[in-house]
Amino acid sequence: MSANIKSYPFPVLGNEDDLAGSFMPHMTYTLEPNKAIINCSFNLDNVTIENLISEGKAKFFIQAECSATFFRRTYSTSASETRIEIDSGDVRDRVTVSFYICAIEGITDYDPEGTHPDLAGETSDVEAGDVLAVGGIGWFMADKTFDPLKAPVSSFMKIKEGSPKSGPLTIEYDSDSILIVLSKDDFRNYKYARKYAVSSIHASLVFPALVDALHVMRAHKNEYSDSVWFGRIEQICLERKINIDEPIEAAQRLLGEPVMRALDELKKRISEDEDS
Amino acid sequence: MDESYQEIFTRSYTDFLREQLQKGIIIKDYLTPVVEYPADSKLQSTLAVSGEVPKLEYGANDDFDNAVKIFEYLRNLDKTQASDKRLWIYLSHVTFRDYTMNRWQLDYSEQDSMKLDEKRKAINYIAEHWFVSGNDRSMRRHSIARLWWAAYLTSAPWKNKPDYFQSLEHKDQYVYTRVLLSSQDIYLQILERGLGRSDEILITVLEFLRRNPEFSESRDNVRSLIKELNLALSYRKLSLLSYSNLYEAVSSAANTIAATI
Repeated sequence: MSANIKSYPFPVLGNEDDLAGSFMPHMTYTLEPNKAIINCSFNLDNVTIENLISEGKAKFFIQAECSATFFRRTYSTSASETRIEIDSGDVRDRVTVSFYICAIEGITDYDPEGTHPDLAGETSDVEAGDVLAVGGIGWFMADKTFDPLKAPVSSFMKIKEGSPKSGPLTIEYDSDSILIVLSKDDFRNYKYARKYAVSSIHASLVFPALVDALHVMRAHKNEYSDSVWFGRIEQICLERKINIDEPIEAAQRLLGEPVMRALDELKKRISEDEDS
Repeated sequence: MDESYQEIFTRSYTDFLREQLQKGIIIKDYLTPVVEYPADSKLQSTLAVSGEVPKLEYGANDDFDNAVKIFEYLRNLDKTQASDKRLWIYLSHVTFRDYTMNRWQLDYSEQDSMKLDEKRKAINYIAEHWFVSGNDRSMRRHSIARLWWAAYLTSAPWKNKPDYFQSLEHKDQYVYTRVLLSSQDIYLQILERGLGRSDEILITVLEFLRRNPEFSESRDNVRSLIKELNLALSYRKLSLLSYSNLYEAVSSAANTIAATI
């Protein structure tokens, strides 16, 4: 789970080293025909906050959000495991799920155990709704036809013919898929070559485009994070434990070692030519 | 009531149109009342629409009436259908082309086509009001989607969430749509900042503005209130509060603002 560091008015567990201990949510999801089901479990290690939950003064808080459908729903529980159901008609594409522990009533003189020495010594009055712990953000694609463990490259990238007769390829990021746009001449050759040399195409066209896309994902996250292609690549990387911050390595893993496959393909072609 | 099925563009055609626009090839089409789109660019959806296509007025002051007309015409939409770019792009380009052209008039001339900056400005303006890209930010700007979503998010909250909003029941189901669309600034401030995703916060803020017309008449007041609530949301989950506590939190923030501005 990723987490944002913020400046809170009092020490918050999970926000840098404000508080000793940990709050680690775990999330799995399944997509059924009419609903998405999210199963959550929480590992909490901080005596003060554990006590507040058992006393009914704080709760685990889950916020599911979908920017495509103006959907934001919140769920709260005192149990260390919970199941959430979201109607399929409420969400599409990327759904983010954030985890917190929040006060559900005012708490005076809040002075949690394990406060960092820089912040210790001062108590705070906490109000209902205030965040006491942050557990990061998970996400999934509410797309029943998309399986991140089996997803082909075509689920996030397409090659198409552009207008110029000749010239360099361009990459476009404004559609649901990343578009590799080839000139008319190149596209004609590509259509022929893809029948015989898929691995070479992966290495020469798709691999560099994907490296570029991974750089774009890191540098322009705010601009593209709602795009279908962005969510799908992110989801595939999450499921396959691929690190997006290493674009060259990540792209090779996503494409299944395209350079090695292309060289192998070339070697076979050359030896076939020599044999004939 | 007569029912028919809504036509939409194909996905590939919406991509094609957007691509043509980005290249600046079709800017002038957006100054033309009638454009013929090829038969294979359209397909019939399973979305049933009720009655005749409503006639929309062009003024910004007509937004509320237009929102109700669009919402009732497309009353069978669910949230996933209402985030389908093929539908909205078709509606702005075909069904409500005349409205879109007049409500979001493009300031572009033959001379502008020679100036790169002006051309880019026109492309962005058209992309904003005639196209959606699949997120709620783009739907807040689209000529038709913005009206439907405004009504959808605010109509009869006491029916959609009776446990929370029962006390707000009103004879006018669009009482909060009216407040939201009472000025462009209220609409943009509230929905642009993502408050529209939380019905608890959205409706409570609109109820506060409805009850306090003097406060809501000031653009600075509304802007400061929404900014303050957004800031509070980063460390306080306001939707955990009961309606009365949330209303009190909104009032308290507003009172502080009114006292300082």
